[in-house]
Amino acid sequence: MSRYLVRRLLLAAGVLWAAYTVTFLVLYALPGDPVSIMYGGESSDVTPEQLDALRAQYGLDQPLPVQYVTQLGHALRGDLGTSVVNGQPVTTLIADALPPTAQIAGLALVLAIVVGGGLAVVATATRSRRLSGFLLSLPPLGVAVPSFWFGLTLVQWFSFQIPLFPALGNQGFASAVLPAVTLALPTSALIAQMLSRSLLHTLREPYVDTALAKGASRTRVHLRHALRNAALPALTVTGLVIGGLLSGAVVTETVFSRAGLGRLTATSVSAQDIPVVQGVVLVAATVYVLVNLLIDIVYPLLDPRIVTGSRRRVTSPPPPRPADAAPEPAADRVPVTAGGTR
Amino acid sequence: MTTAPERLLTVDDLAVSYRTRHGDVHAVRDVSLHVDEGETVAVVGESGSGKSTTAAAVVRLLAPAARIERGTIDLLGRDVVQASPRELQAVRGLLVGLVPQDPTVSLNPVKRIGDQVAEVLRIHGLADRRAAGIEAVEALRRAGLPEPELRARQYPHELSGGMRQRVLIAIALVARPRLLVADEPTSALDVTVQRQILDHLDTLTAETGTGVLLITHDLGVAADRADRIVVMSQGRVVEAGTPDEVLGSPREAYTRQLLAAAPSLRGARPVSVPVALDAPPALEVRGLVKDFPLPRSGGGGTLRAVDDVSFRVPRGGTLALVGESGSGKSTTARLALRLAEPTAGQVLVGGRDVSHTRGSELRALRRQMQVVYQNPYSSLDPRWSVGQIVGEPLRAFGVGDRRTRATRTAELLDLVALPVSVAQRRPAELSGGQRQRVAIARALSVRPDLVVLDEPVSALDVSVQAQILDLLAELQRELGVTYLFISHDLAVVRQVAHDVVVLRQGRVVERGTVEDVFADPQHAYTAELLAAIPGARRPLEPATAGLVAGGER
Repeated sequence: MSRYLVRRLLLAAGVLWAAYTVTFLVLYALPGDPVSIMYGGESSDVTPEQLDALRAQYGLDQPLPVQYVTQLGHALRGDLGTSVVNGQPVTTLIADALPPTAQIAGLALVLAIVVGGGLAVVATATRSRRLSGFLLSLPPLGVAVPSFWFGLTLVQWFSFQIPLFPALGNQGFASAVLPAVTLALPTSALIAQMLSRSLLHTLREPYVDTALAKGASRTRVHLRHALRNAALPALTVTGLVIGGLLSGAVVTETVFSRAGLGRLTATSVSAQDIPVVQGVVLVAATVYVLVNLLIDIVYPLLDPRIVTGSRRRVTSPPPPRPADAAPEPAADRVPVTAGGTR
Repeated sequence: MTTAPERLLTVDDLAVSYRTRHGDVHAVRDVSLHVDEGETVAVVGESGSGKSTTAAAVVRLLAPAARIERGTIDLLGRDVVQASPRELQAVRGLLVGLVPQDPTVSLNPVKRIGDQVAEVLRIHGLADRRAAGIEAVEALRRAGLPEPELRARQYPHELSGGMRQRVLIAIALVARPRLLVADEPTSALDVTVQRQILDHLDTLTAETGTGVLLITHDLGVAADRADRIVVMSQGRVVEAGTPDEVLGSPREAYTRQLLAAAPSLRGARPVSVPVALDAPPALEVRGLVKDFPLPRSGGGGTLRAVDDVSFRVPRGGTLALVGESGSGKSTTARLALRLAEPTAGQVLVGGRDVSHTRGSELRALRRQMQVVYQNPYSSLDPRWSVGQIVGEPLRAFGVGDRRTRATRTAELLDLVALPVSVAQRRPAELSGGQRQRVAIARALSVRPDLVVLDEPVSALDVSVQAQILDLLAELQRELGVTYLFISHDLAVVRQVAHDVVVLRQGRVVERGTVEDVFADPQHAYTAELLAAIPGARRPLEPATAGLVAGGER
């Protein structure tokens, strides 16, 4: 397990480095000069000499590889530079923006798992063909609805028609509900789609018949046998949608005028605030990598067939297993999954 | 026993149909049968005969599209057809146990073995958690699983197929049901494992007086195990009676056909091909060794899958490589075909050493050696037409132009006794036997000298098996093609091979002509394989079976 963990951690570090490098190359290859932006563009009254001095101050006069190495070094020490728009450290900006976004994203994730998972379970468990057909048609709809429209509709209904939640801003838990619901919609749809497919497939597996033949009720078979097997592929998808939650936050926070990582991204991209954009990308990549690292660690606990430490899947000759060295005729000792009788 | 045995199961006039896009398909019609206490009743038939549907109906585990149209199923006085879901739950597991067909997929992969066995007791409230765990271990022990305490803590993927089938038997019997429904319980297993499992089932049920409804496609198994045999065809019971009645003097043409097809009951191979012994062998391997590296986390080292294997296949003859799963026979074939690199040893084709041939020379060599795989359901590209499949090797080797290739394809289909119209169809529209004919036609398209047949009939029904084996023998007579025949089934080998090489754990334990090896096996392992052929308990020729005194099982 520890070997597995070390491998995973190294991989995660590699992904982060790659994300940093690619953003650096893309952002600095863009036309545009951070120093000119900072001081009001070409038409401003700052002299070219002053601009050059500023470039030297920010290290922008250095060749690109030197800039890259210097910045990477700073980033490793936790210094992501300063915003070229308002001069604040990027780390401070992100630290302020992260909590509100984490609040709605976390809430959205819980909602998505509960609603999406619940929908999938009910749709596959019900005996009513109509109900199941209706429920299974919802996920594609959920993905298709544009989230800005859905967010505005929610505001219309639950802030203006029935004033339950505030329409805008960051004031407490109530203000997080509508953005979270907006954010949860496409995510829950994806989870529902994936899990219901997976459940329908799992319910056709022969071991489900074995469980029924034991006298188990349909509910028991569904929840104790099928769900755990079906949840495995859905878990992988959940890891992927967390990236989607962050990008969804850009639209949602704009619609609800909430401060947060999404808004910070939107404003700094439009202002070409390169250090901030790079910081945000790095944070997003970190979250993504951490979540998937967590899933990689949890997966073997849920599925005993995943052997940690890159051991065999099904290879052609079965390695002899000491556990099998029982006084049993040889025939019984050979796994049938082996390539022998193919 | 003086008192009449209790009647456990009565199926009367049962009819089951499946709803399909093309209307209802009547899978089972007018089926009546019964099972008494302590009795084993075998239902025999080919796929599509309705035997598995009948078994599923008894426990009401039919596919969603299936419907019981009429008839009654009486299980110890309970009407199974009309029973509510709750009543069915009370019956399943407690009064009737089910041993499913394929042990490799019939256990929940993410639950421990012990929990899966104990679950039956927990569902029926027969024991609390602790007691159920202890009883589960006991049930595993009774099912003949070594080290049951250890097994109970393991997961299904850590056990071999034979062990998993024992687990399923433990699940079926842990609540001591009165009736056991076993649907092809050993079809997915090696013959020697099959025998152990069936022997064990016999003992367990004999002790408790459990009745067994045994579903099988193998008349040999039925002959060995059953008190009564019910033969089904196209959803109907065509014949029923004791093994002596049914196998000794079959009244129905269908039973006779099935009997003639059963490899285990078929006598020696139909025709012997004269082989010129002095001709250079079509294929020879010398001292083949293949090591596979073991995972570093498992301590490293290597596993020797093939260990010093040598044999020669005479031109126009058939050599059978026989062994169980993991014996190295498929790896040996891959080495011979140069699909894998041997660790040591030589491969000679037509007397020429090709062990290190590469590039275009290797490609030319491929043309001389073709393969037919075990499973015709997965070895044909589902998106291609049969014509494209059969013609592919011709295109790959650039043989002829479009027109001559089409002619050759038609010729090949004719050779394997398929109508030319099949060329336009896709594999999904063909039966298993037809698909295997397509695979054979594809292998023969470039006129190879040697065809490697890797378990070519294992996935097929017995009667189809017989047809394919006959076809292979005929093709060999006509074309003089050489076969390397890989099989775990000695009954099949007896019908097609001239020479036999028996492999065990990568080593050759016995070799010789079919006649010698079958008549007088030298190695204990060969004798064990021979004894495991189902039907061995009965005389081979059906004609003489009537002369044997009844009473003996």
